[in-house]
Amino acid sequence: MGYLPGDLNLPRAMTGGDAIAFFGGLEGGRRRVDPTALIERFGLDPSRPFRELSTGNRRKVGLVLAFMTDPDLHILDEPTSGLDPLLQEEFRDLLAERKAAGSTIWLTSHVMAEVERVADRVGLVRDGKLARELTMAELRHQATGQIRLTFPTSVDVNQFARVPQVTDAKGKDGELLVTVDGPVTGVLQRAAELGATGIETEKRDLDDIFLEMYQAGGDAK
Amino acid sequence: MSGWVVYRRWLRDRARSTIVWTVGVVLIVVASAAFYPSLRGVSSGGLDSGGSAMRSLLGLSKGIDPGSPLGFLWISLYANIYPWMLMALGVALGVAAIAGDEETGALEYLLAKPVTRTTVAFARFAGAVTILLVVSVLSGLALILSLPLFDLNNAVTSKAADGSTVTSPGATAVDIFNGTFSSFAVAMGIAGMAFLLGGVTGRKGIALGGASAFGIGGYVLYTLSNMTGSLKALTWISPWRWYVDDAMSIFGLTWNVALPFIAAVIGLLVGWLAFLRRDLQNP
Repeated sequence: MGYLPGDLNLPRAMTGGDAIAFFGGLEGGRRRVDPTALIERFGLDPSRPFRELSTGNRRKVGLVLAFMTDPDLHILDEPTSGLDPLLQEEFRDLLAERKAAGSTIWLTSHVMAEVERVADRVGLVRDGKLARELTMAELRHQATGQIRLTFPTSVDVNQFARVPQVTDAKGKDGELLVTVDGPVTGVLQRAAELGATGIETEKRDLDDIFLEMYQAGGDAK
Repeated sequence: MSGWVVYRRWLRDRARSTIVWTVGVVLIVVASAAFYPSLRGVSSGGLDSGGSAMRSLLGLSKGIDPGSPLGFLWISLYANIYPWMLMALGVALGVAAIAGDEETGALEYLLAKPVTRTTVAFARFAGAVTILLVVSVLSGLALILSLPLFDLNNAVTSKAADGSTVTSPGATAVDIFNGTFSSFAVAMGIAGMAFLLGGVTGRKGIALGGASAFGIGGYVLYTLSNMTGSLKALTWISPWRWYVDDAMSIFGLTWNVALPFIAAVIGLLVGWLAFLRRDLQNP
């Protein structure tokens, strides 16, 4: 199993190189991957002790440790937290490679973009239990976007009620919030017709979706 | 195989602190021995003015003469500072074996790897024993080498209060071995207690405080009981009772030296079983 905890803690004096040698030694010869390539890929300095590493560099150590074997299962808790965007991209590429090679990956994340890139199925965990399981298509449906429109004068929300893909519209005094599930062409066309002066798009993140689902679950009870 | 990897890593993580401890204990042992030439032949008469309280605090029992080589080593090292140093190290190591890493979260990651709790517990306890042994052996050897440098190996003749002459033998390597081994035994016992508390609770503070309180409380109980004559029945729980009473660096090893080793084994087994049966504490 390749495991990356949410908050990796190692003995303070242990260097990244020590950690790789030690935990690699515990794995024995099991599906070892050359850690040198991973060290270079993530730009890790293996000579620095753990106590001197920043959050991002600790994450790099954790990722090298998690991927230096080729197990059937990876469990990764918020793997990209603290990584810069380039390394996040590198990590997603690595994840895609392992996925293509047949590994099962359990990944926890609050970042929708990350989940969209790598996940096939999503589970919502509540109080330590799997509360709900969805496919990515179902999740995308839940993560429908919202468009905030500004008009010079007051506009009736019913102007958007029959626009294709619009699931909800609310607001007043020239400020409308339109929820869209799918292509936004119709909304933009109607906004232009009504003389919109400002358009802002919002995509709800996983936190919002989780909260909404949990609240719905609580109401159902 | 994984046990050896864990054992070796644990020692390596403590290599620097082990060197510092060893150098510190060796320096204190040699420095204490260096005072002997200036105190040689001083009788215990001056200590009598302090009465039983002073004699109890200094561990002077059964007519031990602090002016003799063995009496001097007893009063300056083996009755107090030397076992205290080893006990402090024993507590630190016993706590670090489980509770220390558990509280920082490092143990959780280790146990997610292909290694069992049993392997970790036993390998780390073995590491603690190794470090205690290294410090004890090197400090004992340093003291043996210091004996001729400071005349501690020569017999001393002094006059007793009644005018008769008394000849006290010089210290030998066997005497130093006996004193060092009995101190090592006490340290092992308290390391076992720290390990037990760490294994049961997973809390560094509880293990550190509990084991330290046992050592210090036992010392206070033993010395106060000697001074006041009360609570004698309770002193059997104090490791100091047999250690000071038997004064093995002077009178030779007794079977009582096995008691702390038995306590250490009990601490290891109970701590290990408790560690197997509970969830890890969150950092």
